[in-house]
Amino acid sequence: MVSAALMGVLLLQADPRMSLPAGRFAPLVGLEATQSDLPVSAFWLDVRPVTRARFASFLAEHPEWSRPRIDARLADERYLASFDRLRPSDPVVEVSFFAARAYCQWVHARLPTTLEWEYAAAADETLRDASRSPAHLQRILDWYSKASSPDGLHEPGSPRNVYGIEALHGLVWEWTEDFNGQGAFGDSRSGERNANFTCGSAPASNRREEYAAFMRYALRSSLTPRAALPNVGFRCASGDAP
Amino acid sequence: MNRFASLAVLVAIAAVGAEPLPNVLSLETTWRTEAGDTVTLRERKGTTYALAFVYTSCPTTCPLTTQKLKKLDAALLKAGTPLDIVVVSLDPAHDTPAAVAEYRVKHGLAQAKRFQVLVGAEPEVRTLSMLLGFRYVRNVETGTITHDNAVFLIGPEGDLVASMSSLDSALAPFVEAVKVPAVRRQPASH
Repeated sequence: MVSAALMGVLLLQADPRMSLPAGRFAPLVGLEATQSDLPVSAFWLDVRPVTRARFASFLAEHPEWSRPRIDARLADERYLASFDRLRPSDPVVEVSFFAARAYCQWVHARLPTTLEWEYAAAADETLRDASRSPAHLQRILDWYSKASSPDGLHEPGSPRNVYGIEALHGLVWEWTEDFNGQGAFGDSRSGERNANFTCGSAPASNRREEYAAFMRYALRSSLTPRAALPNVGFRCASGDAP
Repeated sequence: MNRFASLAVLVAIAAVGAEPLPNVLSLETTWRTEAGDTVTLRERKGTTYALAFVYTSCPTTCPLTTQKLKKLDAALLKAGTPLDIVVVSLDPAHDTPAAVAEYRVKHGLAQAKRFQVLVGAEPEVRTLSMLLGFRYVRNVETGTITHDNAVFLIGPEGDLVASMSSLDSALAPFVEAVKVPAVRRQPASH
């Protein structure tokens, strides 16, 4: 009884967040022809994805985001459909972009940008940018190849990286503030679609180390902001957006 | 074999399901008018208007979008259904009142009262763009914004009732959509 209550208190505490230093990072997508990388300002990022317990606290204060009351234009029919079956410490899933964003606003934070998320996720336990490390990539690809299951939500996810951030891989996919931005068409007159995502472009990148990032960008660009999926969660960030 | 089966399934799931009509009032967004007033789109409830995203320093497509909006304005006037044309800035950090005034002069809109430019904080722009399914991303170093090109027709209840490319679509279907009474449009699921 007592320990359950104590557990509850621990779970209800604010999401621990770590600061990441400014740096430069070469995302797979989004560089202009003359750019080799982009600057990332210092920012704060949640150590782990937002838990079911924390999201329940949000819903208690904002019942308009609960499953029975959600505006159908802000989340599809799968929104929080399995919420009652999640453990308190599981990452909350089946949340739409709009709901994820509303949660982050509730904690006076925001979603990370895609660039910030990728910057944090490129690190492993020792390197800030392990995006060329075969071992790091193999771990990510091994996770991507595993079928997702509800039990997978109890897993720890990728270990604490050099910034102190955990589970950026191996647990859930995560919303970002501009998740669909790379699908934008610059100028449809010229037929200049985003060449990275048109069918058949994957084989054009035969660099294995780019494949994991390619998968993430492809997933994000396939989402709509209403989508509530069984393995998409989120974490919050703070600090000036770039 | 099926290394990436889980992702493929996820992508397939994301594509199904009937979408309710997007509605700009599903979430409140707050804007500054050129007169310096703070407004929300809720204040436009009961009116039909066109809406497009532009940024004043945009080098390539936005001037074309603005030209398209001017043609739309002329066509709507000719059809006897003039509408407000709400231009939402994609670049609030740089679209200062002076930049907006300059944009108006540059595009011959200095006296165009039906055109109204709204500038809001970046998260407000993101909210409205997501509600409408309009995608954009800003290069953090050059400031260039890659974006969709669309003009939206917003109905009296805030619903998105028609849209067209701001570059190469014909105006006629959009102008026709203005005449369709709201009751004949497909209702949103809520």
